[in-house]
Amino acid sequence: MDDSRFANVDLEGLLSRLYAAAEGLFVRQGLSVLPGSGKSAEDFAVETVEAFIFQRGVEWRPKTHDEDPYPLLLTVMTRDFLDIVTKHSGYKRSTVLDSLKHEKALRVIDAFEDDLGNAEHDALTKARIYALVKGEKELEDYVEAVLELWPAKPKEIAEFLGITAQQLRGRQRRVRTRLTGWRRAGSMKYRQKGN
Amino acid sequence: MPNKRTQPLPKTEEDELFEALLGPDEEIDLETAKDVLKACGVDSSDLVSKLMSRVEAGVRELRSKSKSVPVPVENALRNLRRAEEKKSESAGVDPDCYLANLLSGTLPSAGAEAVSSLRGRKLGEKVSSKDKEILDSLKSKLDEGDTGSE
Repeated sequence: MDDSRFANVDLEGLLSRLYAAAEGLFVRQGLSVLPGSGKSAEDFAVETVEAFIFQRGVEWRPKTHDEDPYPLLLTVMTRDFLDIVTKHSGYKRSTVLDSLKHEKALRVIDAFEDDLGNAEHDALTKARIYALVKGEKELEDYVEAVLELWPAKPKEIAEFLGITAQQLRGRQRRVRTRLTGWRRAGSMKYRQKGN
Repeated sequence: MPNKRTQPLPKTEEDELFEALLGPDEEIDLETAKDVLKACGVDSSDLVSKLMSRVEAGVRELRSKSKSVPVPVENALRNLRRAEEKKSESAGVDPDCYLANLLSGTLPSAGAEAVSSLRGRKLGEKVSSKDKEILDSLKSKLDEGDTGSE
């Protein structure tokens, strides 16, 4: 049987899209490299496509000759990324909790501090995002609308801003580019985990 | 057979907030990817080269274990070579020829072979017909390049 898998897939485009998605994952976690593995966004994109080509843990049986494998690989890459993040943070949490196991009161304080830390982190993230788009009125309005109207749907945000769905996508793209470029420049060190 | 790795992931509230800000990852198109690559100072051809090295290493490993190289892997390699050739200035290696070299274990590629063949020549030694052919082919490619850039 003629197996033409990968003959017509735009592998360069696939790598580029996965790379952009991987950068987004790192942005969300506030990481430059992945703790414990040292993997970069580039490594994730390349290794995911490599596993895909050799069908290691990912079996791809396209139903049509032009089926886009990107959604499948995005899921695989995100899962692998989160597995590593979870494994690492799990290790850290268990060592802290082990030492406090006998002190119930201390655990309550710890949980409270965690919440406080998260709230501070959320506020800081928002402040950083605002700062990032400062000076670009369109993006400032967009970010403000998303954060203030949260959890509004994209359609509602577009209506609120009086823009079309396509314009909304354009703004999302610009914010994504700003954030990833910013992370790459090493400006998100405020939330470095591990290492 | 259901594969856990390929099952969609549940989204957290933070994921949804980022999704609202940046747009869903599922909708990243080539244009968005190009913007991100540019912002990060990454060239897509570097990603291709990196992947190609890894796939070539995988093929060599299969060969060293006397295993056959699956057709889809051959397809991918040919595909990658084509993508790399488009970008590379010094390429000029036919993807089919390259693949045949790789599968028969005679890499480096024909291009690298040509360079080493010329470098090995002693001063004053006559140029062989094979080397002359290589030089003529390189000259014609350069000439084509000059015409093409105008």
